[in-house]
Amino acid sequence: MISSAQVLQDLGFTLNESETKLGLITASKDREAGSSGEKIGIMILAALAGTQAVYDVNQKIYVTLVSTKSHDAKGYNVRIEFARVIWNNFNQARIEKIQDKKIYTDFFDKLSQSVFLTAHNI
Amino acid sequence: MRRFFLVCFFICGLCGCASVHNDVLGTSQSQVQMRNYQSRSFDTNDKAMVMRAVISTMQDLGFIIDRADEKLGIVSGTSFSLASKLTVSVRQVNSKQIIVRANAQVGLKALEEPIAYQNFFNALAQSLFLEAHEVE
Repeated sequence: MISSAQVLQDLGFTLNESETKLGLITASKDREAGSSGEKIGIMILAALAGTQAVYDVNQKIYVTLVSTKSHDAKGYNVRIEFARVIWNNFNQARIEKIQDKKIYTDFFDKLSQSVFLTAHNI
Repeated sequence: MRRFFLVCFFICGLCGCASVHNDVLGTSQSQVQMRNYQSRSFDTNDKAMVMRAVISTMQDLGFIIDRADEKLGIVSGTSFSLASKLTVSVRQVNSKQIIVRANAQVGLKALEEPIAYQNFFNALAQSLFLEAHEVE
């Protein structure tokens, strides 16, 4: 759980909740939503179509991490879930569950690295 | 014209995919680099005392404490005046040393300036009456 908390800190999340007995950690971070290129593209398209440009402004990314002891009690199973709330330039919010497999794979790579670094007191 | 719209949509779509991955997992530095300036070790084995010092240092800096978990060694706080959020973790590495690690976001960006963390650890060291050592 310490390594999990550390990897979330590595990724810039601030921790909101933790329940050690259940192995639960929830964290979040606020970031700008969408790249400048994306926004410019939307503005050009809206100008060409003669409509108002609607683009994402900021977002809050939530993460829920649960670690439980594995059945053989030799290790831990870690489950992670990402979701985000995105606000557009009209202050309208939408909720999105992040389902990109690569994000989850890369997260577990970073967690493995964190386990190694934490074990070596880094 | 139709082809131009299709190209625009394709570019927007590509930007979107890369952007989500970067927003969730992206950092400008490696895990080791960040841990280096975000962590300090203190020569003590009293984790509760260090956590109390972390809480009072955060309060001194104007943070409102949102959450503290003694077992996990986590303290989180928010500062409305600085528009920032700070999480500090305290972990015992051996019978003589404790590592304190802080990470913060200011507005919509992660705080990646080592000097800001240096100032926090200086304040914490004063509160603890202990010298802060760099973690290697």
